[in-house]
Amino acid sequence: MTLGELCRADFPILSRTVNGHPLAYLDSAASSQKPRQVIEAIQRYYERSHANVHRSIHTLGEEATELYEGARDAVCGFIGARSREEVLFTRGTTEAINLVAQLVGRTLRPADEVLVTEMEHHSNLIPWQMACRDHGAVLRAVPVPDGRHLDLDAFRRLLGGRTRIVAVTHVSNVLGTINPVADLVREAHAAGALVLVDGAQAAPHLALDMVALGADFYAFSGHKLLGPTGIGVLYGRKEVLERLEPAWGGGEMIKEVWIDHAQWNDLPWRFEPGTPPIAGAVGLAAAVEYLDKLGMPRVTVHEQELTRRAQDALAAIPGVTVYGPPSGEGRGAVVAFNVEGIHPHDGAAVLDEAGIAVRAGHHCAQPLMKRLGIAGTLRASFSVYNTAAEVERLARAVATLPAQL
Amino acid sequence: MVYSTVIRDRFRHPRFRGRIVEPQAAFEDVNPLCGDRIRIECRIEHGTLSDARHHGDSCAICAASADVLLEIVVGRATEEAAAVLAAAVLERLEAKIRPTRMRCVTLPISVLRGALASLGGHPDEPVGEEAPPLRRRPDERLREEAPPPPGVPHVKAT
Ligand SMILES: Cc1ncc(COP(=O)(O)O)c(C=O)c1O
Repeated sequence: MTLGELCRADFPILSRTVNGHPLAYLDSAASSQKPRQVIEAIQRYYERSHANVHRSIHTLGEEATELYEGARDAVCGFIGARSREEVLFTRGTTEAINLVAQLVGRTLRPADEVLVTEMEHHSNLIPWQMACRDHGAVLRAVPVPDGRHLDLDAFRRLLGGRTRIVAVTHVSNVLGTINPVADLVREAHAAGALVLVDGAQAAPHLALDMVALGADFYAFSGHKLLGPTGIGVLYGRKEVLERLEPAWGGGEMIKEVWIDHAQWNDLPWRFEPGTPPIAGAVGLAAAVEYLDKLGMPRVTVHEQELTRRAQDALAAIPGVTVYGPPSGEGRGAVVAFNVEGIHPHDGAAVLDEAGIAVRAGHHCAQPLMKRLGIAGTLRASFSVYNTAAEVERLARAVATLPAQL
Repeated sequence: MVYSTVIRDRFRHPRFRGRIVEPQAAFEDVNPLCGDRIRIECRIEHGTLSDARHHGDSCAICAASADVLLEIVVGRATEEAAAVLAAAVLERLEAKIRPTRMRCVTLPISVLRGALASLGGHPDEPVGEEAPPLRRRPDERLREEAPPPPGVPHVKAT
């Protein structure tokens, strides 16, 4: 049995039908489905242990705190961070990146530079546009001239003495390209720049090792990683976090407060003001444990096999253009494609009628769409629970699209 | 079939697709959700919308909506044309449209209003289903991308 067939039964939603067909959920890059283990962990938490964390001395408060801080340890192990102080909980990737853009943004001086890439999700672009605007810094972008890969020579040319931070995605949410982030980090550090990696499309699919990767910041979302919405992670290298002033104030992030000043709390709480998403952290811990049990290397092999099959099957259909690196290169679990003469939204509507859920549109990556010279694409994306049979269903349905419109 | 016969027919064989030479009124807008882009050009004679054409890059629903909309309004007084609601278009499309796709139906209506507004119409009235998309100035033309807001630095690619 393949991994997909093995773990499908853990995902209750996958047994429902859509428009009279069994659901083929091929939109996990937008948000993944949740295994029973995650749903039950959240329910158990609310039914037995809910209270506010850190503040309450009673039993429930202690249980909730233990679960919340236990989730931090689970994530710390999952991403190979050196210590739990480096793991901050946020609402998601977007909030994590905005937090870094504020923390680092305030250290920017006029004419400093921020280096992004043309393949960033808007959530790793707009916060940097805003930081540059607010601090008089210059935003530069590494181009994607072949529509598939970053231009690494251009990266080296653009990386200069004024570059303060490089913000780059680990895996493109459109092309699936896996960027050589460890190399980029090495070069950026040599040039004296910090590096933030957007791991939203990598953390659910690749084994992570923060120490080996070397990035200063790494952001990802729980809801794309079999976990609940409303929780995300910002990994920050301890030496870097220690140097930064908190951007947001409130309860929990302080040690002692006077009317006109305050002393900041230790890491990681210094950057987590207010009541955190406790249930979200509990669910994320269950998701991480679930993936650990499956084994991330096995998850990667399974998803890359599905992705390769999808890419080959779609590319073989007349009139279909598949975007991203060539088959066999290895990519994240997404395949973006277009069918000649068919608008992506029409394509997605017809596929939905057949019970197949795919994403259509610009995927929050308009600069990349402009580079590709298109308004949008269809996108199939995969997770642990998908099967080769679903890929075949997709290909068969895509082949009939022109006849349906 | 997912789409009605009318939608598929109008998408494949539009009757009002094209351009007007030296139009008296024209407007164009995008649907920020999906990037659909549609432009409507109008010929106006003695207060009557004597001819109109649409073109752009859009999904089948949006293209069909634009086509039946122009069929409804051509030959009518401009105020009347600007008052057409989504219900009239939906009726002609003979289709049930999901809430997530209603913007595709209403975009051409607000674009037509944008065009007629340059003659002094009532562009800000609701189109009947939901708020029309963000409107640009009527004289704005099709462009690659909006300029950055004041103060946002231009991204320099190499
Ligand atoms: C590459 C990438 N970055 C960032 C995000 C934003 O994630 P979220 O919406 O969970 O904050 C996404 C997902 O939409 C993504 O694919």
